[in-house]
Amino acid sequence: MSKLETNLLKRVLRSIISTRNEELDCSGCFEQLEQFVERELEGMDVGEAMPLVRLHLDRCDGCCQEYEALLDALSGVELSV
Amino acid sequence: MSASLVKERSNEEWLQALSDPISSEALDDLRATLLRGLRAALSSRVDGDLEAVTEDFVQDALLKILASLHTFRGESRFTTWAQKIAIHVAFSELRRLRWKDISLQELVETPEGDEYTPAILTDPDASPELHATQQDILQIVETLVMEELTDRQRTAMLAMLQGNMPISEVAKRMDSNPNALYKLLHDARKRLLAKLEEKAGLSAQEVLAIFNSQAPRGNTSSTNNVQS
Repeated sequence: MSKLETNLLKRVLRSIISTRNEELDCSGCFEQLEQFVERELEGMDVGEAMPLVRLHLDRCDGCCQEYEALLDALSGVELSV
Repeated sequence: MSASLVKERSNEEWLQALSDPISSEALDDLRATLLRGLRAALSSRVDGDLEAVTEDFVQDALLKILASLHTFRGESRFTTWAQKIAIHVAFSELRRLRWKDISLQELVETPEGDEYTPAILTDPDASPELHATQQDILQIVETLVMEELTDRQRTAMLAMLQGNMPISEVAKRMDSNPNALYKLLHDARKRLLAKLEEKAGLSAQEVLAIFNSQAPRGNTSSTNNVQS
């Protein structure tokens, strides 16, 4: 058996122990993303209000990139209006 | 900027203006809004001149938005929902370009002779006992990954965690889709968690506590340049 690289094992471990029985997939997260971002921009604690979305964003780099970009896009639009 | 020229509309007004017959003024306003948003979103994430591709992204996004108006549930501002779609269109294409020449195989290969250096992953201030416990747990994790996962689960997990490939790109290479692959990996993680708790005799919270002093946030690539 080849040894897995050590940092990889850390990431696998983190991925395992943060597993929940109920999780959103990428589509489920995407469906709620606009609400999540608007609430965050309003100053709401969205991690508490929409914990499944928060959990998915913490786990999925692709969705998290789009979430952060959407925050920037909306901030950019509001700044320029 | 000319942004202030965009007319304020309610969600209902947007929907009406973009339904047949489509208002060219509303379409131009939406295009301008999406362009500004995408420029703001991409400027710090993508190198090079983005102006032309940004306009292409917006055009593709407009088509998608017009075809998806019936799915807008009114739970946000219309423009937020539309911007979300534009971001998704742009990032999907950027990811495709970034990963187009990379196979799964090269991502999951473990180089021959890759040195196993457990010392670097444990807390340098940990006691010898804690250090040994951390190593034991990681060895269990390694064994579980190699022995308890199916080939598909292991390949997908390693491509994402070792190769940093986005789930959408892994899914394409496995003739799957992101949601199905997410479920495959969710099932894999649940299995690994149950086995880890069984083999280590510890709960997830106890394992976390053991590594807590350096609990890894893991991949921070979400804040990195999307093309990196």
